[in-house]
Amino acid sequence: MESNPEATGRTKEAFDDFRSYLSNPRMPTAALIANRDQVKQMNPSDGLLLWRDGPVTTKQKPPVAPLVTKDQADTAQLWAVRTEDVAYAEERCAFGKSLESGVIKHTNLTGGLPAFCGGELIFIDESTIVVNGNSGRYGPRGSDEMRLVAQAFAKSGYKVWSMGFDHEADLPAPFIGSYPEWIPA
Amino acid sequence: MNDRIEERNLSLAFGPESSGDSPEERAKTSKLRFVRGQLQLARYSGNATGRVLEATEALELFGWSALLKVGEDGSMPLISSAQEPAHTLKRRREELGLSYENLKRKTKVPVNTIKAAETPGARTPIRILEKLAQAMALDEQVLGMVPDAGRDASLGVRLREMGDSNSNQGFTAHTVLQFAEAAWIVDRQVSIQKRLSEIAPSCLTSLPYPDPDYSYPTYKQGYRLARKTRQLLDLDDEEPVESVRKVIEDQFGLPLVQESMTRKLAGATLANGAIRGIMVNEAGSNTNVWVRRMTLCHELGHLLWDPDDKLKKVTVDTYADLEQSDREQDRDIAEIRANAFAVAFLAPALAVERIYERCNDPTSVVSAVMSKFGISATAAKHHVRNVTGLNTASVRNSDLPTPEPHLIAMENLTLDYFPVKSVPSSRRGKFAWNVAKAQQLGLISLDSAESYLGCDANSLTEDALRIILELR
Repeated sequence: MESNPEATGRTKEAFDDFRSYLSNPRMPTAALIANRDQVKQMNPSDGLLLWRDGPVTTKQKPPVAPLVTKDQADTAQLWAVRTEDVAYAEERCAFGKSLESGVIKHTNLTGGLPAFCGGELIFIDESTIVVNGNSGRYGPRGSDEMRLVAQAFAKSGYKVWSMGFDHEADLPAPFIGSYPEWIPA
Repeated sequence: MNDRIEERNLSLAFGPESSGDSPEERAKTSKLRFVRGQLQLARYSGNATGRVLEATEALELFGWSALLKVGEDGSMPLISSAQEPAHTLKRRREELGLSYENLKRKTKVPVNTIKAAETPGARTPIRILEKLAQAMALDEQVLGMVPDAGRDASLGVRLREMGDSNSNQGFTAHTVLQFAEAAWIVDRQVSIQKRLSEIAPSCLTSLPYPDPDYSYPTYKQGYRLARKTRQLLDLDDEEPVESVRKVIEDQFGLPLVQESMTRKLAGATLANGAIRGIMVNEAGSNTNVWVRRMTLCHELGHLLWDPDDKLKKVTVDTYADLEQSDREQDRDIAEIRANAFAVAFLAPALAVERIYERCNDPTSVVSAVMSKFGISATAAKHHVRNVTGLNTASVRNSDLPTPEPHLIAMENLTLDYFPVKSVPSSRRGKFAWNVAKAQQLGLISLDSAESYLGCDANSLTEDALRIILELR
């Protein structure tokens, strides 16, 4: 059965579950906003995309884990679970280059407004992603939060690898240097 | 405008309560600490299990732009390639000719954990990675960030040769690993001394230029260099050297590693990159402090005066080498010169002649030279015979004196009275003093100090650190 690329039903349900786990969105720390450009809201015409249901509808067995390369990490997109939807965009997009920082920040996905969570993702193929929680502004604050947001991505119809949580730094793990963990939907 | 941004960035990186106009000044006054894991650098929070770093230490290791990124984004990824640090660790172990079991025995890290550390993409606690890196003379501070982690490839080759059962030395894997760890200690000590020297000088006497003259008779060159060294230290011919250890460590600021090794080996000089140091065996004949002083002086002779082309990456001396007279010609000229240097540095020929003039009986002369200058019976007999022509062959060792307790204390103080028993002897002495001083001055964290000293977690109490600093 063909999936509808515009559908958002599963996405909404999965991320609403996640939102209700956290209860409230949070504001980014004011001190982290270096300039006004960093809270400039991106629009679809700037390259902002909204997360939609993926093509995966059946339970998947974990394939061979990918080891993310630096080249892949350089193509990362930032994502943010906003109050009503999930926005994402290429970190090094043309819009980002026009900003003072030269790249977009998570606050460009939210306009500096509260959000539930944020991180980075890489598309391995059209149905497989690797996610992490690297966001100084909205990043997951523990391993449970990281796992649950990755599960929300999986429930939205994707094969999902999560970089998981790095207890040594007490932060989500970055893309480079370790194998991701498989997240069943 | 730029100044205002800079101020904001400094506050972001080091906290708003820090003060100063530069990252260095901010780091010194920062209350923030950082944490380094296998994968990333971050601000320290109470739950983080990685290596905790002081702000000054993090700035020194990772630089301003990395700390600013941590301030802005919460973390800074450290791994340069998906293959690291696994590739570097595996390559180094194989380069040294070591099995997993060899490395396990030295580091107490289980084989499966070592294998995991050598597997790209596997997560291994930073404390384990540091332990493995230190044991194989890699720079654990850049492991994962810089391919090869400061590895000195030619040192690796030399150590592998020494461990080859077909070589002259045929050392065991354990001994190879002792040399490798000593090379790490030497390198780390010099880097800490360099930071401490910004506050106070790390040596009292500048190192002289090497001397390439080994001309015949070579022993005379050794005597000449011994005189020159005593002049550098303002010692006249009659003045005994109270502590050779202090001459090496405090006067010349040279790293000295003391370790219990295979019994035939007396000492060695070794180099890790451009950094050189001395290693001396605590076991075997060196348990006699007079023998140990001779060994230390022999190695000092090599390190002070031999040009680079004579000093290999690791030059090993056995007790048999050191017991030979400096008049034996059928030997390497660098060894003849170092032997002559050692005995003449401790017991200048002029002073020996004066003793000879006072007492003609060979046993009395040898005894007086031993007692006054603190040298071994074998060395004293050779030396008295060589300098005065007196036949000392009939002098019986049972008629000769033994070392005074104060001399033993002067040479062994920092090892025997070391307050933290879990610190291996190789990391005691001046190395430990430097680590404790750096920690006291806030240049490194207590966590780093424990890693450098290889001791149990939480064993470096305030009392222990105070005693380490007093043991000089």
